[in-house]
Amino acid sequence: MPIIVNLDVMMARRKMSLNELSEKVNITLANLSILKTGKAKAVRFSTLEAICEALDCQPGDILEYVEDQK
Amino acid sequence: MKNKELTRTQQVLTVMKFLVYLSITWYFLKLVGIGLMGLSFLIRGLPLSNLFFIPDWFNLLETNPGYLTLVIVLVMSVSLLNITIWILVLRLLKRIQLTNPFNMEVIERLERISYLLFIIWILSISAGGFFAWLGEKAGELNDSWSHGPYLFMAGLVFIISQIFKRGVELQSENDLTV
Repeated sequence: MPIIVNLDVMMARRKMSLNELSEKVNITLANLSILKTGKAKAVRFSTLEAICEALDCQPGDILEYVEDQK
Repeated sequence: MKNKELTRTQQVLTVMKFLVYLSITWYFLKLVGIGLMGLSFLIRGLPLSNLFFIPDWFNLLETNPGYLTLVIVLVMSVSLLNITIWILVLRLLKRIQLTNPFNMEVIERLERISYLLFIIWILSISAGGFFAWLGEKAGELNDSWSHGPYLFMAGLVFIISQIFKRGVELQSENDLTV
């Protein structure tokens, strides 16, 4: 998928575990895991806002576009 | 409001299950009637013609016993297929979960029902043509064949199965939306 989620990178920089992030943004561990492993099909703006607020970052720090090389 | 709607839908499903049981019973009685008809044909003199669900085809026996056999086989086949369809519908109604109605199992059952309905339509058309021809030869048969609704139902059920397929796609997209 061309959109890459760098959530684990930001979490490492802020030294935050998945459990802590889950509690801060009020999203289940399962859903965060779906996002982290790149299996998510879509992200709501409200979710993105909550994650950026918790990790003190910009959406561009979490989401990256890489062109498909076919 | 949502809970009320769910309960109402459950009630409708319960009523539908009851109606399906009635339909299965009706077609089973018809099957038994035709079977007894065949039995009375084998055991001559069996006084079955007074029972209301036994058709009066004994004049066919005089024309050609082979015709009677074919008629019995055709009618029994259609009744059996109808019973199969209603059993599939009953299983579908039992499997449907209102919290998660869009799943592949429901789609497969709907497609199977539509294919069976299509087969019954083909069989009904053949039987109807045969009955019309036989009616001229051996007198009017008092069992009417209506095949039109089967094609309509087959098409309708197939369309519904495709809509459910799209529902599965939308549901999986929603499930993977964070």
